[in-house]
Amino acid sequence: MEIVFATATQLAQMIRDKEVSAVEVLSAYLEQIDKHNSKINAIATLDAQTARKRAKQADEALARGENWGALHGVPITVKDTFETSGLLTTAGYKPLKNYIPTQDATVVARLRQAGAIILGKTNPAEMASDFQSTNDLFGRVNNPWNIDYTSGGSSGGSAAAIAAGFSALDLGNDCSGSTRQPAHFCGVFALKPTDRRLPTTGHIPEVPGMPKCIRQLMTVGSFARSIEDLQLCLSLTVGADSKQPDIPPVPLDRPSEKSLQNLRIAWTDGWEEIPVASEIQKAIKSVANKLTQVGVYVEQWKPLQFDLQKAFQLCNQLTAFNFIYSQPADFDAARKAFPVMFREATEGEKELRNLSNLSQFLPTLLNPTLKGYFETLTKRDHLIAQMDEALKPWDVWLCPVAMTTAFTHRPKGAFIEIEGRKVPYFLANSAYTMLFNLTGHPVVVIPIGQTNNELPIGMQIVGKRWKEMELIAIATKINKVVGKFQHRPLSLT
Amino acid sequence: MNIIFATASQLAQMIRDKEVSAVEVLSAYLEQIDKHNSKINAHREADLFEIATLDAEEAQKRAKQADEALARGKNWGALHGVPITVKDIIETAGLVTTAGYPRLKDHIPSEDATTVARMKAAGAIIFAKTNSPKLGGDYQTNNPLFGQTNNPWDFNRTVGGSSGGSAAAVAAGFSPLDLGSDIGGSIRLPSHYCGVYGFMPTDRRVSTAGHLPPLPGQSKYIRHMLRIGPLARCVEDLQLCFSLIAGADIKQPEIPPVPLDKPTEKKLSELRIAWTYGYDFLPISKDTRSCIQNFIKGLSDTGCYLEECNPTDLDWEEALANYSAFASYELFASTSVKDIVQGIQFTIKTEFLARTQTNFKSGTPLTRKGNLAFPPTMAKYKTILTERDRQIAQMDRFMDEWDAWICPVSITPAFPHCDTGKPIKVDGVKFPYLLACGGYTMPLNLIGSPVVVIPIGQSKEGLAIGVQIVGKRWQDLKLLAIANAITKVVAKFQHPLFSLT
Repeated sequence: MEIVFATATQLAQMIRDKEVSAVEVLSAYLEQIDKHNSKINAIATLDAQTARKRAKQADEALARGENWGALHGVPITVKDTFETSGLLTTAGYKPLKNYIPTQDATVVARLRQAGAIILGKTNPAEMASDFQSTNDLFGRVNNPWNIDYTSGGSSGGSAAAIAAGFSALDLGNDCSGSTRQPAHFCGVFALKPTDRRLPTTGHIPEVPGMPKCIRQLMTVGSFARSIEDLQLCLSLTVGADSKQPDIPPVPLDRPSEKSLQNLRIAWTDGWEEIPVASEIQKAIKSVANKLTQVGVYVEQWKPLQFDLQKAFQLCNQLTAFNFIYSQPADFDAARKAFPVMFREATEGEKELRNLSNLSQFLPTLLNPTLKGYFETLTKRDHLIAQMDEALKPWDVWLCPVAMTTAFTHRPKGAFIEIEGRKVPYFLANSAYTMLFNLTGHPVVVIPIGQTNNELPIGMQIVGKRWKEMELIAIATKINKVVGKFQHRPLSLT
Repeated sequence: MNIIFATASQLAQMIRDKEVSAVEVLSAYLEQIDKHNSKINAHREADLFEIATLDAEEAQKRAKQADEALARGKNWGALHGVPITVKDIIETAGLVTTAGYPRLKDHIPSEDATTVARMKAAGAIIFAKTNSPKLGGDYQTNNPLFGQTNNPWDFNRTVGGSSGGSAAAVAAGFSPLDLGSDIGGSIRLPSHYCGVYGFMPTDRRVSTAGHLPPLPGQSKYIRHMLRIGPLARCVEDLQLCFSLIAGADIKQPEIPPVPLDKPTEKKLSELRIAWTYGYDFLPISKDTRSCIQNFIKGLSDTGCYLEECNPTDLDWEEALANYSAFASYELFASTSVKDIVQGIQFTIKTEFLARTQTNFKSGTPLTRKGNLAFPPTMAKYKTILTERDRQIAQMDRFMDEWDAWICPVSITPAFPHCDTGKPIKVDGVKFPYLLACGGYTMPLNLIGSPVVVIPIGQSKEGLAIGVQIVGKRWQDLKLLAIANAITKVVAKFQHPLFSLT
């Protein structure tokens, strides 16, 4: 097995047992990046010199019998929306092109404290606000499976880096799908935890200096080549943060250890109103069949009386309320937003556009009222309760990640064609992910197959709020039966 | 033993062990209320008006059922058969809940508030609603529906607010336990004024589903600072009630499933306790000061480490300013224009009186953040939330060094009834109304700390004086254990003299 495609857990063990040195591991990644990043452009900023120093220190420490923690000497990357002390952090946003933070984001600090070596920052969508990853500072990220296709966004660089063997672990964020959709597009594993599980201190947005505006929907996410790594990352980053009192000290739950055959698993290949590409549907159906074959109770299911349009509307409104004031009034950003709004309002089938439309944002963006905010939060409370109640009889719920798999590069907001239908951009990318930002439920994404033109297909495994360890345990069991993780062959260019 | 002044825990045990029946216990309370609450009986010297609505018939039915269940060997829970009261601001199914608000005078909720349901699920019998000012919006207890509630220690004085009826009922032996609420001092101030124990849990520990405001049908706009908590005659009862009501609620997803913390195993002598007489800009009365002095002396005899200090870095006046702005943003986001106008008028009135009649010539910290500028905006709200984060972090850092911080509840014991907003005289000097009542309680709502109030003594005029014991956020049982240990050694409960007649 090539080092660059080992999992973080494997690397940690190999380094600890001195089967390989931290310096060797880092060099392997740096070489891989050197060979392949120019085509993929997943890496925004490389910190080779510092990383090499640190790797050397890691080996020396080990030789002295010291252990920095569970990720001692393991090279990781961090999405460029997270502050990294002493290392350029831009969020792909021009005004921050020279910004060097003096402090780590909380989750970054925790991984560093566990011994991880940050070898670089991965390329995001500008200000984490798109489902493709491109920005004025570092350009566009290409999908490692086919560079004519997007890697997704906004954590496109993160997902691509994991898929292409550029690092062992990456941290992203997820506000309406920004971790799960790229994971699905690039064929890697990802976790979006419960709303308010992990501290977002040091994440941009907000732009440094702005008040902390984003208090719902956005979570820290993680990318890896195994579910074990997701669990490791979660256990290292979880916990209250004195800088973010909103994060309650809920301990990680204890998994029930139910066997696969004792689980009740609900699954859906999508709602008719938001039709999913048939290859995705086929892959999910195949998952259901395989699970049935090994004796798991699976049932095709969707929550009754779930008003999709209302949910989308709520999500859009709450997003607007949260993101307003998260960056300074910016003529450039406003200028860029207009064509996007225009495309959203005009491209794609009318029926689908009516379901969820970014222009719903506009009244809220132009005149956000506190009253409106509280009304939205109240409606959200009801929806969360509804989803909690609906999920009670099930251990997990399997869903598509998006209506589409990776698509060819195009302007933000341009329609996506799915089996002859012109689907509005944001709907195609986030219809199935934003629901769980709205309700706050934790989700694991696993690769379950590939399309006919060899693009990855992933699946959401949705768990109960605040029960990540249970979800991860079940996802691990499911993955053993149906998982189709493959790393991009090194030869593919 | 005297039933009406027994604690809820004692009553639960006595009923369980069949030393007394649930019916007997309820009758004792109904008799006490009949003697001292209602305004019909002309033989009494004065009336208390603590009880808003009495549900005697239903409660008697339930008490009988409780005894029958026990006879069959059934146990409903930790409070099986114990009669309790609930502040009229918290919804009780089938029992009128008005929040002292004329528009709600006939409001009969179809569902219990979550906390009420949990008390009932533990076997408690809710037999009355206790009086509150209109929508809990004052530091005195008076409303057009049920009138003015008088302090059991001196009927000419206030019980405080807004859980005024709650505190007085517990003090006067009308009930062993009451469920109140606190958004700026509303559990703690009445507890202090009436000489009882009160507990305000950590922000977001206990569900507020079923609390009014918001009014039925309104969006939930109060999302911070408001807590529901118990008032009782001992700390043990506070612990019991808290453990029954705390925890995640499907109706309120914002309540996280933080498990109850473990009470401290440390002995009193091993504790580090910070304490203060308060801040220079808001000096406490001489009586309050000597009470606290004696209390601290008593504490120091136990061997614990005591140090006089205030939370480092935390600007108390700024906390008051942030509190006031924040509260106005959440409270006025959804109310009617009429209520907003009334709110503004009240703020202007209290500030004007402060500037013209007290030493606060340039106003109090409460309007420093321009909360007079309506409507409240998203931008202001987000800024205040961020300010609050900062101050919470400062308090958390301070509390890392201490097991508890002791501070005054208010600058004076109960004051004579007066018009709302009128400055309060303390040792001959007038102080602005809101600061006099809430200057030491409001910032702790902003910051989210859990607080226990315990009675520590009396003023020269025989008025109750209590003190706040502040704990670390999310460590409520630890705080309660500390308060319990303290009360076993230093401060004992007393009930007002009249109630013995």
